Amino acid sequence: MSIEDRIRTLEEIEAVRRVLAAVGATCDAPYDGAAFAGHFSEDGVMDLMEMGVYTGRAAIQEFIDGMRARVPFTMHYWDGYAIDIDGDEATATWYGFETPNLNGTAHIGGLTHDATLKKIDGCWMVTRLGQELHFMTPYDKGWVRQRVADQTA
Amino acid sequence: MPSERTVEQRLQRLEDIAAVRQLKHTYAKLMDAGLCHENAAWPDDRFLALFADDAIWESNVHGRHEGREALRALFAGWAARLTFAKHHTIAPSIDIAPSGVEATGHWYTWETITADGRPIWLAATYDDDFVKRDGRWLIKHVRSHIQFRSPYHQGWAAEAPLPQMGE
Repeated sequence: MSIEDRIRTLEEIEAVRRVLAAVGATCDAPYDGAAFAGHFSEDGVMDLMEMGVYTGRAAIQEFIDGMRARVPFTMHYWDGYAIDIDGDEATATWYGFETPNLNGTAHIGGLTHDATLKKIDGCWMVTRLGQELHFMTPYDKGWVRQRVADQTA
Repeated sequence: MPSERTVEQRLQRLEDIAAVRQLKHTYAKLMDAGLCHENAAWPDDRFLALFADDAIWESNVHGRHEGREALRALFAGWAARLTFAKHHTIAPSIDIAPSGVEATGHWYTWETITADGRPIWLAATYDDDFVKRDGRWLIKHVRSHIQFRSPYHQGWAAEAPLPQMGE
């Protein structure tokens, strides 16, 4: 691989990291569905497993904007990224903690995330965002007493 | 960065930092995957292949374990007690030695564990050594400085201080 290609790979890793940081920030309260969905390709998919699969920017934006009513507060502590670049495509996995207010109760969540991205018109766009929910527990219970709280209420 | 370094050397250093960061992520992911699924075969060869043959894993709580078979026994012991673990390992600070085949790395980790059926908070830092052999980075020495390991419902303020490394 040429020096130019090797530098480009490092630059792209950093660019993908910045996109994912922006994705995480825009799904924190107060939520910005348009900005969040704007990081996805037109046919991008957000697979939240038990919370549904959302395809296309409009559906993704609607879900995120709907968070304001369902989850008045949360923050996404995303870190521990592993990013691989293959030309104009990328894959990423990372860790996340979340601190939502669900149904008026403080919760703590532990997740891992994965994404595929594609460079479209010079910008990295998320083509798929997935997650594995390891626990989402009311703060006063912990993940052994209640591993996953109902997030759809 | 000394100016006498070539572009090739500077680039290699950045690639090595990225590779070591990726290695630590893989360590956390495979550890969590193995402990989460009550896998009696864990640690498997894929996880142990992250370590040099003469690697050391030590902490102020778990002691010092040297060599791949000692590590296998250590991790198998955890698998017998832990049914869930999540190593949220962040804030890497990685230095590549001038030799280009040795490195050190520092991380914070915030772990959520279920041990013997009880939820546990664990906070620690890592000060690790790495070695590059046959073009591949391997874990040479893990030093896990555990700051607290507290029952979820008790919290860390009530816990007696843990011994420090070497005590």
